[in-house]
Amino acid sequence: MGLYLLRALGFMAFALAVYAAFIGAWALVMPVPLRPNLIYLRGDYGYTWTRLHDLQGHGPVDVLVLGSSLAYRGFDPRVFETKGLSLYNLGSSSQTLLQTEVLVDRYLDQLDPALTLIEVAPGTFNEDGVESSLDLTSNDRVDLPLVRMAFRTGSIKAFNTLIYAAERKLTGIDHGYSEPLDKPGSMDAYITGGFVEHRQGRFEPMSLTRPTTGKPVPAQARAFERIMGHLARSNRTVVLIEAPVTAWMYASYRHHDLHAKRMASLAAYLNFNGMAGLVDTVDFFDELHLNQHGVEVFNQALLDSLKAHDLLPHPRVQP
Amino acid sequence: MVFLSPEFIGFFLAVFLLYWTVGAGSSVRQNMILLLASVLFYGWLDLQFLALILFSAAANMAIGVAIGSAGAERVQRAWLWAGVGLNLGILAYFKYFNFFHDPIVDVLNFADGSHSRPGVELVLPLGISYYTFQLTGYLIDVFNGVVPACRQPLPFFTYVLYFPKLLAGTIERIQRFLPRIATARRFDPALISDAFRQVLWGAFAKLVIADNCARLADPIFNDAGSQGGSTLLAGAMLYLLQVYGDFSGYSNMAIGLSKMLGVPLMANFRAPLFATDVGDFWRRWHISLTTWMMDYVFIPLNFLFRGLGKLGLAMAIFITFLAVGIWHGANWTFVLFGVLQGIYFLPLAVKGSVLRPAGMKKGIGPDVKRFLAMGGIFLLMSLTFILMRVPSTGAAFAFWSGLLDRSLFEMPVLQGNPLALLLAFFIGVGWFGRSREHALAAPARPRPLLLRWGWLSFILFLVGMYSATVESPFIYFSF
Repeated sequence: MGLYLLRALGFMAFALAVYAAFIGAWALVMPVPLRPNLIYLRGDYGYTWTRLHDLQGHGPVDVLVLGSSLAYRGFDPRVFETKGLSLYNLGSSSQTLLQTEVLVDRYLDQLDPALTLIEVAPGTFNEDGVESSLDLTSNDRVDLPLVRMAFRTGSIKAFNTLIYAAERKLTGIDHGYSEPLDKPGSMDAYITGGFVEHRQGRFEPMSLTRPTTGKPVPAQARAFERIMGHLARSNRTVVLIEAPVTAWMYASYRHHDLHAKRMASLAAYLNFNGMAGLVDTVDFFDELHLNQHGVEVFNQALLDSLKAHDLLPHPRVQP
Repeated sequence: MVFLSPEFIGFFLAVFLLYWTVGAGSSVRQNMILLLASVLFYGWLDLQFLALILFSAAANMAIGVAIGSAGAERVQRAWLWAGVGLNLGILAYFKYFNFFHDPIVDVLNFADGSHSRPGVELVLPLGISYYTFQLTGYLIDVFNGVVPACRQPLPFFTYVLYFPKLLAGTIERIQRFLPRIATARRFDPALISDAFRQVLWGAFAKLVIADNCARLADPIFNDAGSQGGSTLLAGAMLYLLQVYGDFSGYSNMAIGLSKMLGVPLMANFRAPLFATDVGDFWRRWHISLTTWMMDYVFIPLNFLFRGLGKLGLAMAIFITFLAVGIWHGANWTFVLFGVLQGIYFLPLAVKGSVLRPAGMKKGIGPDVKRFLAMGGIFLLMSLTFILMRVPSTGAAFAFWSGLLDRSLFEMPVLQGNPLALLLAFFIGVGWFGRSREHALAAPARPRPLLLRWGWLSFILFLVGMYSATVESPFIYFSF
């Protein structure tokens, strides 16, 4: 039996090598619709490549933001700069807690923030995290936290993209790549510090159907516990933020009170939904995201609230 | 915790290692490990009905012993009917109660103008159709003297609860199973390698073929009323391929996993897509059910009707297929499914070629006649198997009438994806492996190691690249 198990291990190594070779070949030869479980999103959407590559050599900041598009479209470093605070926004498209954990593992020590803001929309806990794992895998380095994330996501797409990303890194194909900041047809503009400004657009609720609330994904809850544990062990000040979405959308959240209660039990928790001064059809460009006017109103309210709760750090890095 | 979940893989690895280390060299230890693992497996999936399956096993074992010990045939027959009544009673209660109860409730509600009598929603215990048939077959075999009554609880309970086959068959016969676990199983590398290939092919059939077919077929069936004829036809064909991929995939995985434990099970599918007549199809499709029906329903009925000549044969076939249809569930769609299959058999009964195996010629491709016959059977079965998918016979008739339209000759509306290529690969590999136990079974003349490993690695890659990311539940769990 021992000999057979050895032979089985040999086959597994061989199969892994063949598998990786076919992943590379398929990516080269097959058009995207013919390789459904290999999706490489380098520089595709949300400026993740630029945001993460801007970080190289970046020093400590006062405020670090983590979360989904509500984060990278909702927290503007320029507004914080008016208070003398430096902010780095590590939000990314559909980022769930599984990806937040990778970013915390990678960048917390480097950025050494006095205050960490984690955007905690209830839906974050109900996502499988696959979309964001592809985004993160395609746009940043391949390391152990990324491999762990792929296992925790449990998606074959995440594994395939991980293998392909590793091959690209090994062969240096992405060396020298820089993401175009002006994308045809896009109303987005990348702002240094990780923020993405949406230039125009107003929310029109008529044509949309409200999404239904999904089921909690246990892997997300476990990732959240690990993140909070990591931050606690490194004595970080953490505030959990619910960034505003349209009232139209917020009304569709079910059992929000339970979510709010749970968040409040874990750390300082601020919910900006329903705050005065934001109007669905004026301050949002879609059902979830603030336009620039809305961002400025929200960020000002956030700064005021942090100050009122004595959570606003003293500037230590001069802008 | 079903075959492809990480929990099951971890569970199976633990059982596998325990079985071949702690259990090595002792059939008692090996069987104890199998039984404990099976109880754990069933309890994990369906704790509320664990007691039921244990009770069924214990009751049937006791009745089997009673049949075996009774001197007079009259007493034996009484025990047999008691056992069969118990088994079918339990099955009927859980599976068919609503079928009879709901119309009665409707009539009563209609009669007194009230809507106060609620329907009853009974949960179907996992695997009940499979283990009930196994146990019923066992009692009949003991009565007929085909097998002696089993008096040892460990092998008997292992037979009933054996986890690789528990959820959706195969419907294994005790006379095949018990001898395989009577002595200590030896670790056989060739058997385990073959098992791995069979599991891999099962995973390919389920994850790549069945789940991707489901992705295309589901929207067609969910909105059948607004589809054109050609799209409905494509949906029907995709559904047959889905059922085949799903159930043959499950069966191959179950048989493969069992082989890894040194216990080969009977084959459940033998290239049914290449059948050339209805009889040939049913000799290749869900073999453990059709052989069970053959032995315990068709042959006794055929004997009973022997004086009626071809009419008797036709009646026996018809009733047998009615039973096959009803076995699938409590719905008129299944009854109609059985009736139609019975009707398809009538020409064969008249010709007298019901029991004649069609055989499987060797060669690179089929000749034109065989090819057309295969296409015809595939089409016929596609149009019939929709009865397993639609909610009512009315929906089935609407589906069929939707086909009779000029739009039948238009291009079907299907989302583009690589499924056509994958189906071609699946059918092609199936064709070249059609005379073996499963499509990836080693050919008679062994190939070089690197070629074999490369081929298996390529199929692993295809599973990884083309598995549908939304997995559909195994269809036959609900039967």
